[in-house]
Amino acid sequence: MDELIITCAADSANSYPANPYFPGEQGDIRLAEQYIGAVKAGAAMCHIHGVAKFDANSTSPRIYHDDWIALTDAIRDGVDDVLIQNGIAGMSPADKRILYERQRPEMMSTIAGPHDTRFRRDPGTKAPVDLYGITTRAELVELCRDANEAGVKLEVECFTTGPIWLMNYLMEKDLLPGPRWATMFLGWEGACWSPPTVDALSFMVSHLPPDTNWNLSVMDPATSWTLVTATIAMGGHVRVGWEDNPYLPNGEIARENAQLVEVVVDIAAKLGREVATPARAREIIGLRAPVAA
Amino acid sequence: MDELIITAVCDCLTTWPANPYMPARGDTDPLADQFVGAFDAGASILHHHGVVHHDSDTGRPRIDLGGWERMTETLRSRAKGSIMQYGIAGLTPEDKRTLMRDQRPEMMSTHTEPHDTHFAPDADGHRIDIYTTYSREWLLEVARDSIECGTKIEAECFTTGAYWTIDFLVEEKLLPEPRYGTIFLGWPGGTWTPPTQDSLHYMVHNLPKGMIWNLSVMDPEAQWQLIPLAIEMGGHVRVGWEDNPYLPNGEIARENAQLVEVVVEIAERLGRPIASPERAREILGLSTPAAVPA
Repeated sequence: MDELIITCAADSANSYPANPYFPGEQGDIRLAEQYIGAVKAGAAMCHIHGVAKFDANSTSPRIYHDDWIALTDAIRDGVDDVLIQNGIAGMSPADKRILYERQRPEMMSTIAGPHDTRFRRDPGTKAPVDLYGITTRAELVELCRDANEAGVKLEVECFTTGPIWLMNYLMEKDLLPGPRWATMFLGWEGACWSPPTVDALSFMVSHLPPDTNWNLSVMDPATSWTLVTATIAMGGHVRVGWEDNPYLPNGEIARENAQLVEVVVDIAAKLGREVATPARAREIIGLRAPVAA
Repeated sequence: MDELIITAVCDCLTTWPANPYMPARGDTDPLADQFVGAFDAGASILHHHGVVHHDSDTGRPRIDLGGWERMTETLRSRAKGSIMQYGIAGLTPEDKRTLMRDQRPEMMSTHTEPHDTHFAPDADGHRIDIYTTYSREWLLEVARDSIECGTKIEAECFTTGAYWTIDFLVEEKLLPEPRYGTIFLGWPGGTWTPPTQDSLHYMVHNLPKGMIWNLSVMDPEAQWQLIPLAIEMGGHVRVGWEDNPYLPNGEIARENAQLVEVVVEIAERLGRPIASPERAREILGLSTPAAVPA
């Protein structure tokens, strides 16, 4: 079993806007401190959102490239080595190309297939936000070509088994080289929901194409830690952080994302699974050499 | 376990456009013959698409109201007591409302998740991709209209995402019992769920409470393996050219009735009786054949 790759997703602006420790708006530069702390605690990869403004009910936002690059630089400057994975999977191919060129991320998240997420917001605070989107096969082909050309590894977001069909479709066209990377999203509300259960996790993982590393994201505080533990035992990788679940196992909101990473490191240690360094994560994921400072 | 309700789906213009036995678009009489034959063979729900055109620019369906009416009238007079289920789940709320208000189908197929399907090639090798997204508002409007018109929603469940939506509608008190959903396995595209026994168990045991379920499989090999399992598990099944025109021996069925006959035979061997149209209405909580308001 490979060492465990921990990803930190710290940006909870959309998912838990009432988090009292969150600094400002989505993509806030002060998040760099959160990410640096998480890497020092054992995360090899940072899943970041730069500044992006969504129009109502759309997954394709306006991207502020300078702010993305500033956040990336601040994180890279604060640690010895780190992998950068861009979120906001629904951004346009043109915006992704600009980031590949200027920011040189290691990975880019990709919505595969249609998307429908409801961020219920924290109960009693604000109205829910709904994000809907479609990625056509023609767009997916373009995204794969661009990523392959730029040496960026795609993260395939699997909210259901639908994206697994698309992975097979892209593999037939030689557009999704191995080792592939897919993240299982469980408990994310909306009409792409999969139940946050070990059963759902086993079901989805058992249908993945060969030569695919898999990762878990759970947006459900009640089941998150159970599923993280199961994933570590099953050989998957995990992502944690304020975006997915800001609550520690004792029910308190983590003041620092590093605390959430520390819980994962602790569970892994108890289960006897080693945690991957950024350098080892690059080998497992099949990435190019780090970006020169 | 309730008797088995068989649904016939005969219109494969989009899904299997190379089927040589499929009548031309808008030619409702020979297609009605297919449905009537399937009804006589044991199907009680007839799932039809009236006459629909897919706009080549937007991919959006454009309906021919007269064609839908013609098909329904023909089926109601020739297949007495049959249950009309209107397909094309992604129609606009306006189109759905008009159809439900003016034609009173007993059931209406409805998306409960975004949709992405990739169909079999036509004679020239072209494939149709259909992508549909919708909003929560769209769904609420369709659900309210269906209650007002006395039409039961068939919730299309391609993934467990649909289950979240069903729970959402139940919370809004817009999905009265008994609730009905069809599990779609093996439909190629970005909302695919594998056509396996494992998937069927997964989809069935995660169903929201109180759902009557039905199975549709778009995979010629897997369909005939999964139908017996669904029959044994207490589900209902749909068959016909739309889902899979191939008989278990690999030949294309000339008549949809042949596909229904295979289901009837499997059910007999497994000891599960077939629901008559009257019994199907009781199970589904439908009224006696709906009267269209004058």
